[in-house]
Amino acid sequence: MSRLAWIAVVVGLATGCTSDHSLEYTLLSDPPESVLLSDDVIEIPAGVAVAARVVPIEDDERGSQRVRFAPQRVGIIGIENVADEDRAFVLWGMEPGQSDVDVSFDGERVLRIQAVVTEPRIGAE
Amino acid sequence: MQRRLPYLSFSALLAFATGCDLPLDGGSRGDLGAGSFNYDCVATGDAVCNRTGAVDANHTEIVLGISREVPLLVAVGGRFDLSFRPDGGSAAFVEPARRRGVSVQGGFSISDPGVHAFLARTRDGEVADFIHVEARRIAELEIWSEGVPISGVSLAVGERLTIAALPVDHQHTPLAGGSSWHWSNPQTGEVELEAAPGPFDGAAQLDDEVVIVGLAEGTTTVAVQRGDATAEIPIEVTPAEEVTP
Repeated sequence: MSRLAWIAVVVGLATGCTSDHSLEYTLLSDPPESVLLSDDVIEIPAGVAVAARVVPIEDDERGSQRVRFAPQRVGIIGIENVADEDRAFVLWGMEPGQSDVDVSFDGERVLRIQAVVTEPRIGAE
Repeated sequence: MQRRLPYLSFSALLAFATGCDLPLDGGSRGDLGAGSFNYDCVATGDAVCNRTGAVDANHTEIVLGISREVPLLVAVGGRFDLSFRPDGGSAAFVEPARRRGVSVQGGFSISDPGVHAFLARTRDGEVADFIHVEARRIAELEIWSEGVPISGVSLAVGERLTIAALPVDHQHTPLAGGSSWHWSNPQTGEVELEAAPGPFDGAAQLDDEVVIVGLAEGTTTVAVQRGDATAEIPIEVTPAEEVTP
């Protein structure tokens, strides 16, 4: 690597100029209660499920990488692929609580999202 | 509150237009539209499987559904079963999104009120489809006979009358899910209770429907209990009607 390239890497790390990753969500279902899906937070009530198509975004470009979600705490939030759909996922609140969710593009961890599962709403009693 | 009858109506129109047969076991489309969830009564006394006509079906089917549709509301503690029939692709088993608060022994029974998603999971763990059911506590037991709610019964000696108890929430909305019922009366000789005909007959004390048989002139009561909910109605037994030739 040339001296110039090394300087570029060092400057990039020092200034935080690394690749920018995010997710683009498109809801595929109409959840009975409000659900929040973003790059920073997933908020969903316990007992509620929602399906969304997820497109990886890298440096403002829609990518074709394989996206995977890995909740770090067991039993708080469930995230699995929709059957036979590589980019569609079902997310559901299992129990009230919080868990980090690691997001990887093609096996490389690029994002950490905080999942918040809220108390279930009690309907008309 | 959403209703699923329009789906059936649309399906019926579609079937009529295309000449295709409707699936006999109907069910409710999942939120992803990948197949149908079917509801099954697995315990005694489920209003969904009321067959005697004591409760007006037009009143209950708005919420409880028809043709194995998944009811919008189930009673806390009511037992039921769900299965999933995919339009195509691999088979899937149904499991609750929340494990806590939902018993999975012999069907499903929800102990925590609120909305509960049920997921159809493939063998690979992927989600083929899902559907939501809301569980509410029983606020009251309504007593019905011959298609109308009643507050008392008058029958003649020798006459038989089928009555049913319908669990409802605070808004008087019917709730699905089976459970054991307990019917009783003071047994002072005016009436006796018999099992109502139906899929779970043979145990009058456990079903949501019961037949009252007038035995002797007088007044008495019949009470019914399901969990913490109870109801009681007065019974008047009148002299046997004379049959004129």
